[in-house]
Order: sequence, then structure tokens, then C-alpha cells
Amino acid sequence: MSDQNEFDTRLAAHFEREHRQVPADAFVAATMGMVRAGRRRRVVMQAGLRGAAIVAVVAASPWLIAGVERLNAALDSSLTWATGQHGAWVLGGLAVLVVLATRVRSR
Amino acid sequence: MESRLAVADLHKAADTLVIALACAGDDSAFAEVLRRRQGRVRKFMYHLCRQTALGDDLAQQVFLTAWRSLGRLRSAAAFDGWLKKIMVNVWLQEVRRGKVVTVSDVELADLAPHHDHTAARMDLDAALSTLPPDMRLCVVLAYNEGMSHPEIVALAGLPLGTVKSHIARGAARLREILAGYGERS
Repeated sequence: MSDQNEFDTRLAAHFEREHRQVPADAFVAATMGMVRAGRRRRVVMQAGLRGAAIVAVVAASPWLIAGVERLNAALDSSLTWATGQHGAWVLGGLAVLVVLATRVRSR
Repeated sequence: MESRLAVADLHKAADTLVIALACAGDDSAFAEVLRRRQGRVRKFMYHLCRQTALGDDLAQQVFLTAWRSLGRLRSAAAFDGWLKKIMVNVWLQEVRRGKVVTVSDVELADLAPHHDHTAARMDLDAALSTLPPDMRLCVVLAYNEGMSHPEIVALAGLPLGTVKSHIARGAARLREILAGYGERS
């Protein structure tokens, strides 16, 4: 057991010994160079993505406008139906159902 | 982002302050963190891969990953544990890529034994390189980082029994090899 402990201590001491490396300053400078390059890449990529998004919106604008017009027409017709006699009855019925359901749930 | 502290002040500042500044996007503070932690990270990576250049490449990957995800670090006090997790992940990725070399006993016998301190370290590194990557990781975490078995389990994602057996068998193997060197010297 003491042999094992002695070996463990010796092994830990082996690991403790100073490790010969490229000087810290050179390593820090090289790594910070990579960090700065990474930051530049990120900025360029974000600008590129923003530009691509603008171009996509401009290119798709004819379809977007047509889509908005169709949506507008659909909203118009549904509003006309809702303010009519049939629509008013259906909406009124739905409102009563919602009130009843809320009361049942709160009991 | 420009630094809120002069470089001279950063050198003297407490770890938690420098780390907090680095988390806020201060590059000079991150460079200071890098300067303070580089020795430990590079030594750890070198013990695992036994090549100075590859060890430094892996250490750079560790710091780049840390820089990219600094915003996710919850508190400056948790930095060292978090960095250790990145170190282990970078090593495991390298193992998965199949770039890790395990030296056979025959190749190890060809490595000439030396008798000074530098040589003793080389012997240890050569002996470490004969261990399978997972076992090597457990031994380095236990002896180089001084971590307990449960800490290694949490970091390496291996079952407790496997970690215990890796450390016991790895240490026995190193003992055997290093004793062999001792007899030859």
C-alpha cells in the first residue's frame, strides 16, 4: 500500500515538472490573432446575412405585395360576413359557448 | 470592444474581475485570461497527445471555443471548471477524429531511456502514449489535475467503475513501464 502511495506521489511529481513550451507571449499573440480573425469573420458574415436578407425581400416583393393584397381581400370578405345577419348569429352563439365553457371550468 | 482597464491594471487584477470583463466582450481581458491559463491548458493537452505542436493547436482550439461561448458562462467563479470541460471535449473530439496515436510496446522499447529530469518527463510522456485514449484521459485528470473520481465521472461522462478501473490499470501500466526504465538506467 505504501509502495502504491509512493508511486502515486512520484507520478504526481512527474506531472508537476515544468513543461517546456513555446513562450507564453508567442502563444497568446497567435491565439489572439485567431480570436480577432474570428471576430472579423463574424462581422463580415453578419453583414453578408443582413445584405442577403434585404436582397431576398426586394426580390420577393412582387409576390409579397400580391400575397398582402390577397390577404386583405380575404379579411374584407370575412369582415363583411361577420357584420351580416348570419355572421352575427354565429359569433353570438360562439360567445355564449365560450362563457358557458369558462363557467364550467371555474366550478 | 475597448478595454475598461489598462493592460498594467489587468495584470494585477483579480481573476474574477478579469474573467467578468472577458465575458463582457473585452478582448484585452480575454488576452489576460489566456496568458494566465495557457500554461495549464497546454501542459494538459501535451500530456494527452505527446506532441508539442498538436498540443498547442488543441490548446488554441480550447481558447477559441471558450471565447465563442463566453457569453453562456453563468459566473466568473465557474470559469475553471467550465474551461476544463472544454479541454476534455476538445480532446474527445480529437479522439473521435481518429488522430490520436497510441504507441505499441515494441515502439516504446525503441525509445531510448534517459537519465536526467527532462528525460524522466519524456519517459512518462512515452509511457502515457501507450495507454488507450480514454484511460490516458482518466490518468491525466487524476494525476495532472488532481481530480477525484466523481469529478472525472462528471467531466468525462464515463461510468464510475470504468473511471476507477482506467486509473488503477493506467497507473499500474505506467508503474511497470517506468520501473523498466529505472532498471535500465
